Amino acid sequence: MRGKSWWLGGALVSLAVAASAQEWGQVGVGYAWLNSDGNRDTYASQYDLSNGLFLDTLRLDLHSFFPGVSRFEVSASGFGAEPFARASVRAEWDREWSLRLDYTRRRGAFAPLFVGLSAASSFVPSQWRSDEFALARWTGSLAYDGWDFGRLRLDLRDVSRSGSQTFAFYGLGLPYVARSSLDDRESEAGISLETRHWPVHLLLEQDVAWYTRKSRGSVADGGQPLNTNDQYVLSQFTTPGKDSGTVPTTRLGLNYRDDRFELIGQGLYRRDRFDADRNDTTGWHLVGGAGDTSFIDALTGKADTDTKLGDLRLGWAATPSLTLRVVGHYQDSSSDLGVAGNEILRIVGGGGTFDFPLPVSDQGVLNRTDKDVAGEVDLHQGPFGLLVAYHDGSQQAAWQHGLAYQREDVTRDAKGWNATASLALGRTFTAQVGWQDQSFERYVFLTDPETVSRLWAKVTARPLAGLELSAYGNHDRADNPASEVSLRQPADGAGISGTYTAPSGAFVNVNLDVFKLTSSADITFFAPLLTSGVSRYDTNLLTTGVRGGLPIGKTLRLEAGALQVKDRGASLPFTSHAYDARLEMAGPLQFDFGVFANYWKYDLKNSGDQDYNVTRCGVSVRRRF
Amino acid sequence: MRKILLATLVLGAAVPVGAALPKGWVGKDTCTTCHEDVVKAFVAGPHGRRMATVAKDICPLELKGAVLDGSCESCHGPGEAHANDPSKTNIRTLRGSTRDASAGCTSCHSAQAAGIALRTPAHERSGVACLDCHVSGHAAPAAEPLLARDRGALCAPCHLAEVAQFSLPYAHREGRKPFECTSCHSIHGGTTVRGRVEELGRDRCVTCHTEKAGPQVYPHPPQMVGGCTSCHRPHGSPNASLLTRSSVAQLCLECHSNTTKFHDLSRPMFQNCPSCHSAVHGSQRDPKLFNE
Repeated sequence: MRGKSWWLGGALVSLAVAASAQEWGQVGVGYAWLNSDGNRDTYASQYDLSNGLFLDTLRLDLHSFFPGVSRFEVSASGFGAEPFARASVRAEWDREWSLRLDYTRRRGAFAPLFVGLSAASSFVPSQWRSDEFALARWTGSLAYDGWDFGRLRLDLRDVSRSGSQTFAFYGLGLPYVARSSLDDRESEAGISLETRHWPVHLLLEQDVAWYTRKSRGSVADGGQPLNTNDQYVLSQFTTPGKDSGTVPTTRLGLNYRDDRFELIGQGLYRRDRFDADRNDTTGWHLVGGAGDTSFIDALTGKADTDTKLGDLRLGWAATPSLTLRVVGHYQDSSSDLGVAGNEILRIVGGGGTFDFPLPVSDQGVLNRTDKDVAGEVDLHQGPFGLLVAYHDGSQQAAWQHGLAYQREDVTRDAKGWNATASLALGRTFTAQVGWQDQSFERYVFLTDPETVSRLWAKVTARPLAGLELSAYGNHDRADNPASEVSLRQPADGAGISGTYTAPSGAFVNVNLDVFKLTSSADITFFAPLLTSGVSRYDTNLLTTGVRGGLPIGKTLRLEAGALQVKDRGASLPFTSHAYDARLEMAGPLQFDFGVFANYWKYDLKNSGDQDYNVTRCGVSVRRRF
Repeated sequence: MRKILLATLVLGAAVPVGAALPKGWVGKDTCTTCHEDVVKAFVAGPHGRRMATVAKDICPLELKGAVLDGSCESCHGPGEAHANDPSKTNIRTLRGSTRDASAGCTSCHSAQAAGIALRTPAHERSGVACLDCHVSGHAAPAAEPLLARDRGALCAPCHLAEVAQFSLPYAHREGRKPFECTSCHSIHGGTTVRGRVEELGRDRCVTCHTEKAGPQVYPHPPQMVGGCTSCHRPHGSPNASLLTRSSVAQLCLECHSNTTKFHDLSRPMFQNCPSCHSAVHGSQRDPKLFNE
C-alpha cells in the first residue's frame, strides 16, 4: 500500500508540474482485472501481471524550464499491478554538469519443478518451494565536463532484495518445510577520470562495492514432516548470522588510434573480502515429551579473492583496406577460503541440556587463470569485409574444497579459427556469414566439449520503403570422446522475420523460428546396482508470432499480437500461447483512452501440474501536454 | 547529398574568427549554403544541443569552444574537396553499414570505440556500424542516447535467435518488459560500476543476483570457473529456473557421475539434488553444499 501511494502521489505531482510545463509531457494510468485458472505459481514465475491500478506511462521533458538547467527529463512506468517498474531522471545544468538517476523494481517468483518428489504422497508443487522477491535497483551518475583536461564522473549503484523463500529440505531422514525472509543489499560507488586532449586517452576508475546479507529463517507449515505425522517435529529453524563483503576495484584503460596504428588496453585489479558469521540452528521436538534435539552451526567463514585482469589489442593498417592485429587477454583470480568454529549437537531432556561440540577448522582454495592470444587479418574494401582470426589460449582451474578433499588441478588448452565475411550495400542489404571451429585438449568439467564448430549466417534486406526482411540460420556441433562422457550436442536453428510499416502508421510483423537441440552424455545410475546410463535432452522448438497495428479513422488505433511456442522434442514437450490486443482512442482535451486484453495459456504435455490459463483485461487513460 | 554539401558550406562560415580550422575543413557556413534544413535539424536536435553545451571540450579535433560550429565536418570529415566538387564519393556520408561510417562518430567517441574493440569485437568484424543502432543527430531519436529504435526493439533485427529465446516458457524476466539487452550486455564495453563487471564473465549475472556473487568458503566450481551458463540458459529455456536440462538430477549427474552409491536414484528424494544440496551456488559453511 505504501508503494502504491508513493507512485500514485508521484503521478499526481507530475501531473500538476506537467500542467504548468512549457514543454512536453504525458501521464497515463490503468486498471486491470485478472482471471486465472491452473498453477498460479507457474504463471507468476513467467509473467506475474496482476489485478489493480498501475502507472502506464509518465514522461516530462522540461528544457530550460528551471533557471540554469538546460535539460530536465523524468520518465516512469509499471508501478502498481505490473512486475517491472522503472523511473528515471536526466538533468543537465550550467553547461558542465549532467545527472542520470535510474530506478527499477522487479517482482519475481519461482515455482521450480520438483518432478521426482511428486511421488511423495502429499506433494503439491506450489508448496514445496516458492520464492517471492522484489529486486530494487538504483543506478546513477554525476558527471562534470567543465575541465579542458578531461571528464570526472561519480557512479553509484544500489541493489537490494527482499521477500521470502519457502523450501523443502531433508532432516532426520524426513522432508520438512522452512521459510527464509530475504534481506540482501549491495551498494557500489565509483569515481572515474577520463582524459581528452592527450594523444592517448586514459581512463582511471576506482570503485568499491559493499555487500550484506541477513536472511532470517523460520519454521513453516507447523514443523510437521511433509508426508507423515512423525514423532520428529521441526521446532526451530533460525539463521541469525550475517554475510558481508567489501570489493574494491581499480581499473586503468587506454586507447590510441590514428590512420595507421591502434592501441587499446586495460588493466584491472580487484580484492574481494568476504566474511560469513553464522550461528544457524535446526531443532526438532520429540513428540511425547521425550525432549528436543538440535544442530547448531556456530561457524565463521572467510573467503578472500584477488583478481588481476589485462587486455591488449595492437593493430597496424598495412594498407587502407588491410589491418593486422594482435589481441591478448589474461585473467588470474586466486581465492583463499577458510571456516572455523563448532558444529554442536544439543540434546534437551532428562532434566538438563547437553552439548556435544565438534570443532571445525577447514581451508580450501580456488584458483583460475585464463590466457588467450589471437592474431587477426582484417580486410575491408568498399561494401565487403573479411576477418580471419586464429587464437591459442588456455584455462587453468585448481580447487580444493577442504582439507579432507583431493585437490583438483586441470589445464584446458584451446585452439581455434574463426572467419567472418560481411557485405553491406548501404542499409538496403546486409549479409554476414561466419565459421568458428575450435578444440580443447583437456577438461575442467566432464561435459566440456572437445570440439566446437559453428556455421552461421544472417541476412537483412530493406527492398522497399517501410519493408524489412531478415533471416538467420546456424548449425552448431559440440562433442567430446568416450573417455569423458561421450558428449554429443548438435544444435540447429533458423528463422525469418518480415515487417512492413505503412506511412499511415499501420504495421505488420511476422516471425517464424525453429530450433532443434539434442544433447546426450554418459552418466552413471545407482539403482538397483551401479549401471551406465545416458543423459539425453531433446528440444525441438517452433515459434510463430504475428503482430500488427492499424489506425482506424483519425481517432482509433488497434494493435494486436499472437505468439505460439511449441516444443516437439522428447524431453519436455509443451505448447504455450500468448495473445494480446489493445484499442486506443484519442479523446478531447488531449486525453487518450484505451482498453486492452491478454490471454496466456501454458500446456505441459506430460503433466498437468504446471498448466495454466490466464486472462487479463483492463482500461487506461492518458493525458498529453 | 546536396544537403550535406550545403551544411558543410554553411557551417564552415560560422566558425569564429581566430578559431583555426584543421587542414581541409571549410567550416559550417559553407555547408549551410546547400544543406540549410539539415543543419537546422541537427542544431535543434539532441546531438546538436549536446555539442553546444557539454561537448565543447570532448571533441579531440582542434575545435575548442567551437565544436558546434565545426560539427558537420567533425563527423563527415574535411569538406574542402566536397565543396569544390559536390560528389558523394569525396565526403564521409555516414550512411551504410561500414566502418568508414563509424569513423565519423569515433573521432569524438573514442572510449566507446575502444570498448567495442575489446568487449564486442563481433560487432566490429561483422561490419556493424554506429548508425545501425544510433541516428546521426539529424533525425529524431526513438530513445536515448540517439537510438534509432526503442530500446526494446533495438537488437531484434539482427539477433532474431536471441529474441526467439525470450519467447520460451521460462524466459529471463529482465527481457519480458522492457526487452533491454543492455541490462546485461554492455555494447561499448563498460565500467566496473555499471556492470561489476563485464570483464569477469559471470559478473553479468551477479549484478542483480548479488547473493550468488561470493566468493564462498565452499564454492561450486562450475559457477566460479565456467560461469552461470554452465547450468542455466540466460535468455530463456523450456525448463524451470532456466536450466539446461528438464531433470535436475540429470544435469547434476553429468559431472557428478562418480558420486556415492548412497544416492539411489530409484527414490524420489534422490531425483532432486537441491532438496538436500540446497546451496548449489556455493556455501559459507558446508563443503557438501547442504546449507548456504
